[in-house]
Amino acid sequence: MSYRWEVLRVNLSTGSVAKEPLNKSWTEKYFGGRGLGAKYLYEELEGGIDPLSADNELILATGPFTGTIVPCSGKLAITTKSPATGMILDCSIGGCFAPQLKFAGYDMLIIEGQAEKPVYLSIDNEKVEIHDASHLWSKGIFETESQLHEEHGMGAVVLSIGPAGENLIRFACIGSEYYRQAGRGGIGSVMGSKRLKAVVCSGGKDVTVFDMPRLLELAKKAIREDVLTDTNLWAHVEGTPSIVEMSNSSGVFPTRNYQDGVFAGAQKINADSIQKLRPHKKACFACALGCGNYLCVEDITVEGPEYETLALAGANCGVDDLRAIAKFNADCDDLGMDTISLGNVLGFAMEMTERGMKDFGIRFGDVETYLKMPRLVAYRKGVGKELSRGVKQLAKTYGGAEFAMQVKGLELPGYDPRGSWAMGLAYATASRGGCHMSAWPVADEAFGDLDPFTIEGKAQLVITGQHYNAIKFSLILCDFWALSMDTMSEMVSCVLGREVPTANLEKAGERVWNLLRLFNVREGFKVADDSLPARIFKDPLKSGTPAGRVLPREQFDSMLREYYQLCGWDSEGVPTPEKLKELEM
Amino acid sequence: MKHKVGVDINNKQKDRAVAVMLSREGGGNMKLILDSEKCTGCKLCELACSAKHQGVFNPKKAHLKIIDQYTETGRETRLKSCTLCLKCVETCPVEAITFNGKWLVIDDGLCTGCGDCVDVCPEGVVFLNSEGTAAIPNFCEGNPYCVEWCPHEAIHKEEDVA
Amino acid sequence: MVVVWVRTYGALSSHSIEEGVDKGDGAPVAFPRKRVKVREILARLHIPEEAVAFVAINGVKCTKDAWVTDGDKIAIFPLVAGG
Repeated sequence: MSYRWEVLRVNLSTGSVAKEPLNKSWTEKYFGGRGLGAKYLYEELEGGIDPLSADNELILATGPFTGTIVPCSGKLAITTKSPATGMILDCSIGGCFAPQLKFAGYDMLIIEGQAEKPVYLSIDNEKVEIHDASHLWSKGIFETESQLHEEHGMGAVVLSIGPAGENLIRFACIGSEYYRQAGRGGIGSVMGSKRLKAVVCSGGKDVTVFDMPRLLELAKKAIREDVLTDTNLWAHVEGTPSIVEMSNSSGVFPTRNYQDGVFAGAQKINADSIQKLRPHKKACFACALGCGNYLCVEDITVEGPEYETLALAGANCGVDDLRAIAKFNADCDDLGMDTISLGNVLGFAMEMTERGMKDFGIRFGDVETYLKMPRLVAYRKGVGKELSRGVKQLAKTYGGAEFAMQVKGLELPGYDPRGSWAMGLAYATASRGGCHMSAWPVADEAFGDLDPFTIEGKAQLVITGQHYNAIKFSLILCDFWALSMDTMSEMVSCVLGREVPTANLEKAGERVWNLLRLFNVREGFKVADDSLPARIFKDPLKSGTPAGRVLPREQFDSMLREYYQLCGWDSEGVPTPEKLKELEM
Repeated sequence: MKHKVGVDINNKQKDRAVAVMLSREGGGNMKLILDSEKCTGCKLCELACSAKHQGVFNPKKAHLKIIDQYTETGRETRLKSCTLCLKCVETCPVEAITFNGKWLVIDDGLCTGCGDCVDVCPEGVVFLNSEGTAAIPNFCEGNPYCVEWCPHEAIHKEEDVA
Repeated sequence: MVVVWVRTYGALSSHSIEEGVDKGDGAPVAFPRKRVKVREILARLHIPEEAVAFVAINGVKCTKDAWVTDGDKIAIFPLVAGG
């Protein structure tokens, strides 16, 4: 029920297209999406492979909720080894590719090997073909989608890369439906290294569930009483830009390369400035919220900008010009690049230039040069050649490591840990590097009632968040529906036709989290890597509620020690055999 | 030489057209309306429809289609649903589909699964179900399920009363 | 008398009985005393405390027991899940 029990495996080196049964016992432990993708990748890859080689795999995984009426279930998990960090990388992309893959008859698509020349993959139910993509290579994502819709129909859903992925930029992304991305860690470059320009999918088969009447009842009630509520409606009413004022008011809004947490121009790029443009809301498949803001800023049309872009490519660059940010966003969407990483890289370049440590030719607030950057970086032209290496590598070459705001090679996103200490732990221990999607304790601290400037209880807070997201992103549900584990349990039991108690889901979440950790341990990551840039430990914030604050190193170390203890990991951050046994791994 | 005027209409077709005209005069004209500004393109309506009527989740087996897509020129959001054009009624070779004045009705016993109605529907909202007979939209007999499910009240039914 | 500018975000405006609090700079709300607590503003606008993530006075986060004076700009933020 719900599962297809079918994996589509495509090898681009040999050109083979094969179907194989989905591993049933793994689905019982890992369900789908993030967890199942991690399990397959862990088992199929050896440690130490080059992420941009034929040895890497791209695993596109749906979950048991995909293709059903469970609200907010339309996302796809793509798992691979990251070229930016060398760690396991899973990205979540919205739109409707995942449901199409399920309707076409597959739970998962595994892409192996490397094509000799540019190709694209088409999936039309049973008909799966590898096509020549030479007519698409070098095109932006928008034109690629348009072209593929002409060739395969408007009903087909496209995942594709742009020039940034083709050029193996460290922070290239995969795009879909123009404005949705699998954004971080250079996932687009894995696709580019395989010379896979796009995957097009159309599906027309039924998705069934065990107890349809009960699921319809549960889902209808959930939409009314649990999704369209105060807790989640911010996503529909304003979307992520509502976080701009929240961050700015609590002093955690990354400003001018994390030099401060309050940005004078915040009012020009907040939710109001976007609401004035009367966006047409856009939802992913089966989502009752619809967080996308499709709008026009002067001559720029884009679905966005999202909070992270307004933060990293706005305040962090000293830019408060909404049209400029929208243009930057649209260009990155077309070129196929992560706005978080690029915004962060530019912030670093601006600070280095202003300090006189290295002239990258760009300063804070220099909108004209800023707008040239996406193309320069995607094509490695001029200063873009250096900037495309990412902030960690730039600091290695030119200095400035103390304020190269990254963890393990992934540029930090939009929340300053000096104003939310648990967020610092979350960044340091996230499975894919400096990431805000593993756990988001800023909601409880900066945006809530918990004291942000103490480590008490914070390790547990982060762990609970990480386990919760781990199972949530395996069933596949979207981050923006803050549902309880009990609700997840009710729904998954009804879909699968077997009891999956909340305790099972909690354990599965912990299991997925430990598996992600095991992958990284196998790649050689240890306690010393679970750290933060020196700026966080040493440079006090200047403004707002956290003025004068740092996250003191000793406090961070204490928090990290407690974190490992509570996780059941040793002092090197490695899951112990007892813990793995307990989790039936 | 006498020139032919108009087209040849046989008696059966003549009877059919008269029956359609009479039944139209008797009843209302139900339709679904989409507020394209409120519609987010979530497709919950399509899922609800296929779930209710076919017991499965499959947008291709829904009696409405939300087109919500980006093109290079912008975004298009519109609805395809039964407009009571009655082409399926006129086309059915065994007269299995009738119009009761408000919505379409199919006699499953008569339906041969020929698929002519599927091909002729200009909205693309008629299809063959798992039993091989035609699945015909009927506005859920007056209480459209899609209207109930839409989270943003973007879709509603309208009824002209004759 | 205290007149403050109140701005609610997200779906919180659906609770409040005051017009215009959910747009632009918000709307003025008057109290017949010299100062009020943030908590009282929430009560006056019929906004349940559980629905509120935090409140900011003049762009700086404050507690629900903070005092608010004439001319202050109050921003009331809803709970947010992720982003």
